[in-house]
Amino acid sequence: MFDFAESPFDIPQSIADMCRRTWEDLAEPGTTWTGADRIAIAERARDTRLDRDGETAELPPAAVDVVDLMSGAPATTSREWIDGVVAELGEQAYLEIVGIVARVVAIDTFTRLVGVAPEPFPEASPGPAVAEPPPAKARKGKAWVNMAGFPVPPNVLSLVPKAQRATNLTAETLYMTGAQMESPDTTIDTLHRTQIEVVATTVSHGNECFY
Amino acid sequence: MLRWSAQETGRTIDFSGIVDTTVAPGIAGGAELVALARAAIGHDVDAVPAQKVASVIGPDAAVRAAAVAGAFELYNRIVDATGLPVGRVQRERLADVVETLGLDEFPHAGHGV
Repeated sequence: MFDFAESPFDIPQSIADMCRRTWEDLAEPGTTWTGADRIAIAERARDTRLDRDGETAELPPAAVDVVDLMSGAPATTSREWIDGVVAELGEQAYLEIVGIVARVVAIDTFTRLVGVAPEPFPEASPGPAVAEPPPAKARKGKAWVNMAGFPVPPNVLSLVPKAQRATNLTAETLYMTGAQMESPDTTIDTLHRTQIEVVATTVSHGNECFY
Repeated sequence: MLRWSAQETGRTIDFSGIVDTTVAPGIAGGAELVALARAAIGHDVDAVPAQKVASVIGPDAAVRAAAVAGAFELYNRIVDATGLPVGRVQRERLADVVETLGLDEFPHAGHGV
């Protein structure tokens, strides 16, 4: 899994390890969804992102709506839409889907850019979802969902601690760690911070992401 | 972040290079990095734009650029899915970038102000 043998590039071990760990995590029971549900969410996210029809295992209609919108048109979310799907699914279930879709799109994007076909998803692990209580001090503030801590990307999924930890691992491995973010003069794998931010800004602009 | 990094390290960036492919962003490999990032958003499963980046600034940089593109596909989704606000102070600080890149046209432009 994720041997990157097709790629013309040498892939850093840290990235390959993170990809494998992410796929293993997707297959495990989550906080609100089973392993089978999570793989179904991942498969639909990939199919939607690639504009292809696929067989989607049974998911609630609201969950399908979330996967489709988050995969294909994330900037079209609104407070009203989020309130609606949260009312149907529950806030933790909504955020768990967001974390799965975001990680799948991130890793599929990376693999495609380095010349590798999408990695097949693993077989789901059996067993029910394992509930984890949300942080006691979570609040919305001006955001549209509850979160604990400062309203910054590493905390936005914090209502589902397992999802937040997994998402932060993917993001930090692909982008940079919090410590590296402190320096405007960081160079990672010969790419300077300014070059890194050109890529980041272009992707965000293409996704019409104001943040 | 882009302007901060450029200012603090004495680099001059032409932000319009992000939205206008006829304008060079003004950094090493800038045009190739923008092309890679645009390919990340598109659905061309056969494109390997990282090779163009590699030919200009090296293979390690190309792989890292692909990783950053993946990371921002993630970040964009989690902030838009949660309505993370951009505060008034940050908006005002980035007013010139907002204008150059046309960010006020984006769906969440007014959120948090």
